Amino acid sequence: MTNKVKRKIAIRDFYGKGKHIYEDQMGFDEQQKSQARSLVAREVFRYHVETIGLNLGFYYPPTDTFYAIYNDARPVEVYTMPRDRRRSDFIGWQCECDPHDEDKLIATFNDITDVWDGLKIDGKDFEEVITHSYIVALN
Amino acid sequence: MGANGSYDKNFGGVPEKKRTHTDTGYRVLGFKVLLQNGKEKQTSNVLNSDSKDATYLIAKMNENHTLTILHVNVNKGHQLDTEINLVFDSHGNLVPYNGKKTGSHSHKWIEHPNGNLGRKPVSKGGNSHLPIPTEHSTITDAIVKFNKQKHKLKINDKQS
Repeated sequence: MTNKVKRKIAIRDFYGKGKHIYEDQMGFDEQQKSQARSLVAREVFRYHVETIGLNLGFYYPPTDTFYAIYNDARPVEVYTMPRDRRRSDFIGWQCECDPHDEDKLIATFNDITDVWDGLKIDGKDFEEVITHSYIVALN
Repeated sequence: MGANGSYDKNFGGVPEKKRTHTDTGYRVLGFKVLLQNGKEKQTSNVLNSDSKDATYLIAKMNENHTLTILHVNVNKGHQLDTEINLVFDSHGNLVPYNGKKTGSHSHKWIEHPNGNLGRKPVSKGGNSHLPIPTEHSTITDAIVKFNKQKHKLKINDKQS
C-alpha cells in the first residue's frame, strides 16, 4: 500500500499549468538549510547572505511582487525586480529573477547584517516575509 | 560540482549525493554547461569542483526549455576563484563592464578562516564588481553565440 502525502499548494500554476509551488517549498529549501547546517531561517540567511555574500531574490505572494536583496554593493539595496506580465501567463516566467535587475528601490542598509532586523515588507518582519516567500535566486 | 566543503580528497571529487549541479551534455569550447539541481530555472555557483582547475558554465532553463548561460565559474584547486556574471541586452549581446551591476562583471572568491568560501567582502561605499579578466574574452564570445542558438534542454523536463 502506498502512503501518499497530500501537499498543500502555496502558489498555483507558478511555472505553468499544474506546475505549482507547494507550501513545503516556501522559504529556504532543504539544500540551503543543509548547507547552512541549520533549520532556523535566521541562521540560513546568516550563512548564505551575510557570510558567503550571496544575493537573494524572492516572490512574496501577499504583495504579488518579486524582491531582491542586492549584496554586491554598499549600501546594500533592497528593490523590486522588473516583471512583465505580457511575457507569460505564468508568474514564474514573468520575471527574469536576476537580483541584478532593479525596478523600484525600497530600502538601503549600510551593512548586510542590518537587513534581517531592519527590513519590513508590507508591514511584516523580514523573517515572516522570507518564510512565506518562494526563493527565486540565491546567487 | 558541489557546495562549500563538498570536495572529498579521498573520493577524488564531489560525491554524487553532494552535487549541486547537473551536466546538460552541452559543451562550449570544451567547458561543461551545467544546471542547478532541482531548480533548473535558477542559477547558483559551483563552489567545489571535481577537477582541480575546472571552469564551468552555469545556465538556466527558460519557459520554452531553451538554455541561457549566465555565469562562468573558474575554479582553482577545487575551489571557486572567479565568478563571471554575464549581462545581455535585448538582442542577446553582451553588455560590457561598466563598474556597475548593469554591465557584465566578475567577483573574486576567497577562503574564510573556517575553510568556507565566500565572495570577497565589499568595502564601505563601494561594490565588488570587477572587470572580466581578459583571458576569458574568448569564452564570453562563445557563450553569446551559444545563447543565440537557443539550444534546448536534452535531459528530462524538470520542475523547481
